[in-house]
Amino acid sequence: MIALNHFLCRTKTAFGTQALTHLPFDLSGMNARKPFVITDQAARDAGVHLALARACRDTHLALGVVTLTEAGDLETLYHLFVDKGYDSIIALGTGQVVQTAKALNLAVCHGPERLRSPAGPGQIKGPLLPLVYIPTHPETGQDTAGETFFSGHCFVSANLMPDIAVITADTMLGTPRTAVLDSGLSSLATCCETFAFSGNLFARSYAHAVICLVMDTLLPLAQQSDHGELLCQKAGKLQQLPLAKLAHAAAVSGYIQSNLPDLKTRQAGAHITAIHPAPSAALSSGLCMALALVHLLENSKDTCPWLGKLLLPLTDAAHYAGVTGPEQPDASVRVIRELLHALSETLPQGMPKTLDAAGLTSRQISEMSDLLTYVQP
Amino acid sequence: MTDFMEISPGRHHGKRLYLACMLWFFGRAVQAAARVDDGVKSEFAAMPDNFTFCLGAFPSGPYMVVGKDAHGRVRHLGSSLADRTIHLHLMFKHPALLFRVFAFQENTPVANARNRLYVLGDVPQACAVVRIIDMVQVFLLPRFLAKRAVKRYPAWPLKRRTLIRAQVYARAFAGL
Repeated sequence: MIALNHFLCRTKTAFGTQALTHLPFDLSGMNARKPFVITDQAARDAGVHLALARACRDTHLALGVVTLTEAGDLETLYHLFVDKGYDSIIALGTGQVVQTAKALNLAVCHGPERLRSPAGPGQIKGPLLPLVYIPTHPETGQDTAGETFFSGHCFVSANLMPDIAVITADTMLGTPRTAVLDSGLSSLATCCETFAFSGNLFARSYAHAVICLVMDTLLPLAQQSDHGELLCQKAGKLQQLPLAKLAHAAAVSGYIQSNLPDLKTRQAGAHITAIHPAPSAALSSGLCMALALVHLLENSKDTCPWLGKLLLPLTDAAHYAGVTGPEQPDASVRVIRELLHALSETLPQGMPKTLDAAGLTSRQISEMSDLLTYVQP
Repeated sequence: MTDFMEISPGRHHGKRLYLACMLWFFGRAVQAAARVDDGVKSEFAAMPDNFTFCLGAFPSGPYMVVGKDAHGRVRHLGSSLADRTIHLHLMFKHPALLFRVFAFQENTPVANARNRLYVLGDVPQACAVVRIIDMVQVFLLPRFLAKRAVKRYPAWPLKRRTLIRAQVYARAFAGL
């Protein structure tokens, strides 16, 4: 019997040199002539909006650029958008910028009262206005997923996914090591779990690409990145392309999250963050997910159908061919452990490499055993 | 939220002028090559009579319009699309992308592979136009530039590389 796979990715991803210059053509294909650009102070200070304006030269687009300085001021944005007749939204940034852009899109298309109560899958009908996502940092996949949080409510719909994601080195800002690790480990955990456990062929092929991107870029980038807070300036020349690749990986992992909402590592990451006695910057959600992934893979060696095959995207064809079939599951887990160890060495204070070392008691770990064990359907 | 501004991105006049000049001379060279070179002649011979194509950039040019009349003569028809039936549009998605091709930073097959251009019209004729563009670029450009402009530099006989190239240049300057 042939299994039926569903996978919906309504976002067109443009990546690479001159990707921004494709945007006016793509917007015109959606009848958008007056985009409303939402950005944050860091991107504004670094002049990223000017790169967007340069890409719109010699076209008919007129941009309205608004800089977010405080969260939740959606009413002002709504009136600006409606009064000045804008017809599409560009989220130039990550995190709060994208969540605000999705909420604004919802408010403009379905009325502001739509935001007063949460909406689950299938409750937001019809297409929304064109939404373009241009990241300035690698994030954790939430920005391209079909969900947004506003005023404590969660809204879930495939229509909330961006229509276009433009990921280019030109818009990447300097990103500290902790944020790089959070993004990379989050994408890696999501996609390793998808590749090893999911029967969805489309999701597995996306996951394969993401794992390759993360394995190529994460460790070199973590070794190069700076400490400290987010920098309000463009990333250095050597870091721009790896950062863009990591942002690309995060965007694609967001597509996977939208299609496979019940991933165990994501639930375990959220659970660990919630129960941890002293959450700290060193224990990001991405790291929690990676630690949970190692447990999940270790506990499911006998039931995991494609754990051995995971070695191929984690390393390369030559290494994969040199490991015999029965040894491949162990080798896959070992590669992930070695990556965590190497990443730990890039941080002066190190980072936990197991859930025990992260401060969780054996009782807490055993309580979440259902999240750390794969049960074959 | 404190800061709001409206930006009219404007125009890049220098690039537009460069592209307009390049397309004007390139159009005349296509007309000249269609008269003296057998390779270009045979590509046009396969096209129907009264066929017109344009090469340009979305959304507002510049453009190069070339047509084949009822007698099979190929003519450069200028840069205006007005009052003409264009059978084949070969358009780059942004003037900056057309500039990359005409500044020899990227060749046409690479631009196509990177999804930089779109075609309105028949694909076989679009392929023929791309082959014509490649041949004319080899005629017009010195070898080191032409190597960057085409996918593979052709091994042409001596006569085609010298005599016919000189004829193409002379006719392009004279507008014959």
